[in-house]
Formats: sequence, structure tokens, C-alpha cells
Amino acid sequence: MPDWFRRRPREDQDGANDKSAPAPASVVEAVPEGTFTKCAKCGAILFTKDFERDLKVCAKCGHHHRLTADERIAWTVDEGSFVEFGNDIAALDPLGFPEYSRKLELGRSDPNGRNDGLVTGTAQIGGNLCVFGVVDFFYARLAGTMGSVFGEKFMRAADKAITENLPFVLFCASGGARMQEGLLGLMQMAKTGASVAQLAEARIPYICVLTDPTIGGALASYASLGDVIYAEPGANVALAGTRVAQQAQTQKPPANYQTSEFQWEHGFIDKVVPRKEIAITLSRTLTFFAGGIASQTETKASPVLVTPPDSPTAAKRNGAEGGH
Amino acid sequence: MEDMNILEFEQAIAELNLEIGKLRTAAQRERRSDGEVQANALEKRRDELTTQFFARLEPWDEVLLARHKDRPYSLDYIPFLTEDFIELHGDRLFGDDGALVGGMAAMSGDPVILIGQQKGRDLKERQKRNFGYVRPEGYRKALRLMQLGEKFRRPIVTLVDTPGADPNVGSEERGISEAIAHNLREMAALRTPTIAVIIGEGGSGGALGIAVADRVLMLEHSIYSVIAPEGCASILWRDPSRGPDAAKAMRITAKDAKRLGLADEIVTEPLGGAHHDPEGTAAAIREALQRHLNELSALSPSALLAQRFAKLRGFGQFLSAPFA
Repeated sequence: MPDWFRRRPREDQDGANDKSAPAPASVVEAVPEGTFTKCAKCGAILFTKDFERDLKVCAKCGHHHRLTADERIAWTVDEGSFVEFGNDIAALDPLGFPEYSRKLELGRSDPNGRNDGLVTGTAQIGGNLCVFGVVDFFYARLAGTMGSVFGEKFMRAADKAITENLPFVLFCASGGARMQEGLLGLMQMAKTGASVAQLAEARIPYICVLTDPTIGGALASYASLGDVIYAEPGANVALAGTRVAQQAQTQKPPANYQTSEFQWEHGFIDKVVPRKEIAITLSRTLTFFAGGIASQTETKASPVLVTPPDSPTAAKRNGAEGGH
Repeated sequence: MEDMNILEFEQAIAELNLEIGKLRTAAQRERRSDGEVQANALEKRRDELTTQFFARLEPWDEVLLARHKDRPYSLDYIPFLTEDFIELHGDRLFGDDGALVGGMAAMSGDPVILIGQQKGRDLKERQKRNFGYVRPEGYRKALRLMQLGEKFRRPIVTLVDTPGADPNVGSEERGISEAIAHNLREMAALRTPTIAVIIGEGGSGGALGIAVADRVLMLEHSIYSVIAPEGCASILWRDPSRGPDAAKAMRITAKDAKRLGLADEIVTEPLGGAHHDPEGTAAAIREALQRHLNELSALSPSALLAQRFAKLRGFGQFLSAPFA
């Protein structure tokens, strides 16, 4: 069957969201490829042009489709302000794990020359300069998982935020720790957690936006540690993946179980923000944190903990902070 | 013997022991010395077989040993590790989690905070301990006790033994991910020595939630993994029964963790595993704990923190530019 509809790439790969009906072929036979897009949730047929104007939010049901890192950057930060860094390291296959080298190969042919799903840089949002990170769930079919490169890029982005006294804004999307790196993958939770401790010590604002999906080890580490935590509507936000959760239930879960709204209801997310409002929301948030007493007088008095561990001054500087 | 797993091997040894017992009884009853000689020969053979078997354990055998029904749990070790243990209960927020125990104790006269994940042996106990799956209350109780230790400069020892964090509705409602994430951040910055000992199952983020520490020790037949082998197998091959293959691929044994630099020391178990001699195993753990605590106690809080952050920040393996 020819590909009449340009569908979101692999939206249904976790099997959780795809309720789409088969395409009604007769209607669209003469239509050029890509003219229409089908909503991955309600199956509505949308003009691709409108769909993109709506930032890939379904006009019928409001489903927020997953975005690539480039789409997210284009639709969130001030035009042309994003300056990427962090591609000067590369992933290894430390365990020789089945299929992993093939996925890393896929990553190496990334058209943007990126080394991981986590894309880091500096950007302005409503004129506010910040360190900006976004996880591309689609990168190398690795589901935004946290491997060694992820952890290192996260830490370097946080370090830059500390040394340049910039807030850190991060769009999360992740299947959790990267199984293919075994225990090294798990330890990225500890590494990002420690990195956030250093952000906190230096009083650098850290703002998370949870997008679909933010689950497992990601939610149980860096994604739950924002000073402010926003989330997109309807995103899958949970510790356990849907399949695991279904097997484990001893009580019947509510209808909105494991979504942004569920997490918000229980007090773990500050605000569920529709995609078209996120830029202005972030801009206001950054304005709140800009200036103020803390950043004027306290930051420099609180030496940062980012000296490289091999530096002779590391021990001295790392230890020089005040009490809690 | 080649293709037996450890449980089948134990079964075979049990039958052999029965045989040896019968020979002995018969020999005594009939006052014959050749029966005694035979029994001795069998015993010798048994010990040889055990040594041989344990010299070439498969990763899956380590999984079975780590989950062995007779393996000592935290509360089995605590009386041998410390004196005057007083268990403290509750997270002061919601409730008390039976899957995580902790309290004040003395180790050779020196006060320590001791925290352990706890499984149950019979059905009633298993329910009370939630099969070792730790709920948010458990992680929050652990953190409360750690902060008690920090406040009064008492070192913290944690015993890790959990299949994972509890994935049920109630735990999601009360923020299981937030609880773990919060611990990761706080444990990174605790101003007192911390040692984690993996005594059985180091189940993913559920284990890590009390295992970010200055030193990580692993019992010889404990495991530490990013996801349960069965879970990994069902993702990789859509077949949970291929757990043994996944166990191999993920490198989950104590030796692997040591090789990856993620465990600092392996504590040797008696031949046949910890369940053959809980007290002896406890003595070995205690010896290692005291040695590491002595080293850590010699450091100032700031030097301790510098060392810990350097360690956490160094987790991961990747290539740095320029790439060859």
C-alpha cells in the first residue's frame, strides 16, 4: 500500500498510544504525499500545514505529538538563538550488548552530527539567556534513554549553567536508563542527581518540562528534580512503563493514570502547560529567576563544584561551600 | 553437572548428603568401617564438586543465588553487624514501609545509622515486606534517617536487597519517582561517610535510591542491574524466559560491577553462598565496613564530599574528541 499519509515516525513504537484506524484510502488517492497527517491518537485527518502551524497538536483532540529536538528548538526558543555544544564526545558499546552497536551506527549517521538524544546548547527564551537541553526521543531509536553520553552531556550543560550563571531549562523525554549500557546506564541516574545537587548548591534555577514519555529512571532522577516542573498535556509520566504497570496492579488505576494530569493532581508537577503556551511560560519563569537578591549577591559567594576531578584545586574548591 | 543451574545443583548435593547420611547410619549400626570410608569419600567428592561448580557460575546462577529463598536478608545480618540496634519507624509524612528498615546502632562501639531493604521469608512476612518492593515511604524514611546521621555526624551504612521500587498505583500516587530522585540528589551531598552494601538483589533505581555512597561493596553472589533480566529479555527478544541470556548480556555480577569501576570491593561469601553461613558472611561484611569507615572517617567533610562528587561525576564510559 502506498504511503499516503506522512505519519509521525514511530509514534506507536511503545505500543501504548496507537489507537489509529487504517487510512480511508479512497478519499485521498490523488493527493500528493505529505499533504495530510493523521492524528496518532484520535485518527483525525489533518492538513499537514495546519498540523505544523498548531505545533503538531491535533486540532480535534488536542493530542500533543512527539517532537524532534529541532522542532522543539524551533518552536520554543527565540529564532536563531540556539547555539549547540556537547557533540565532542562519542558513545561506546562498553558491554558489547546485542544490537547496541547497530543503534550507535544509526546515531553516527545523524544528519546533524549529534552524539545522543540529549541535545544541549545555549539559547534565549523571550530574551532570557539560558542553557537549553532537549531530549530527542527518536534519536537512533534509543528512546531518549540515559547512557554515558547522556549523563556526561547533562553534567557539562549543568556545569556551564553554573560557571556562566545561567538558568538551565530541560525538555525531558525518555524511556529511562539505557539498558544497553547495563549498570553504567543506571549510574547516569546517580550522575545527573549529583549534577542537580551542584546546581542547587550554586543556586542555579533548573526548570524541567516533561514531555511524552518521561518514564522510569528519567523520572526517578533528573526529571523530578527541577525547581519548577512543567509538563505537556497527556504525556506519559510514570515510574513503571505501561506494560509493567498493567502486570503489577493490585488495584484498579484511575483513567488518567501515569499521565501529566495524574502527576499534577498528586502534587508532583507544578503546571500542565499546552505547547503553544510553553515559550511564554518559560520566558516569564526565567524573568522571575533573573536578577533578584540571590543571583546578585549569593552566587559568587557559593563556589561551584565543577572543577574537573583531576584538577589539583578540586578537593579544595569542592569542599569550600558553606553549610546547608 | 555441566548444564545444571545452581538450584538444581543444590538439589543434587542435598540428595548426595542424604546418601552420605544413610551410609553413616548403616555403618554405625552394623559396625562396619568400609561404610564410613565410603561416606568420607563421598563427602570429599561433594566438596570438590561444589568448588568446581562455584568456580564456573553463570550470571544466571548469580541471579538465582541473589534471590535464593534461604539467602540472609538485612534483618538476618544486622545483629551480627552491629550491637544495640534500635529500629526507627516511619517517614513522618505518610506511613512506615516494611520493605525498608533502619535505625541507630553501634559497630564496635561506634554509632552508625543502619538502613536496609528487607524481604520476607513466609507469606505473611512477605506481604508485610511487600516482597522487598520499596514504596515512597521507604525511600523517605531512609532519607530521614540519613539526615539524622548527617546532623549528628554518624556514618551511614545501607544494605541493598530489592527487586525494585514498588510500581503499584499507591506508590505512583505518592510519588515513587520523586522519592528516589530526591534521595539521589541528597545522598550525593550528605556530609557524613556513606557505604552501601549490595547483599542480594540490586534491582535498578529501586536499589540506587539508597545506594549512592562513598563506597559501594558487593557480596560475591549479589547482583546489580539496570533492569531485571526477565524485563530486559522481554524488551530485547519479546521473551521473558530468556532471562539467562539477558543476565549475561547486561553484566550484572559483582565481578562485572567491580570491573566497570562501579563497585569498590567484593566481599567473599562462604563456599555455596551466604545462606550456608550467615554469621560468617556477616563477619566478612563487618570487617570490610570497618576498614572503609576508618578510611572515610579520617577525611574532613569537605574532602569527603569532593571525593564523592568526583566519583559520581566520573560514572560513564565514552570517547572524547578528537576521535581517532
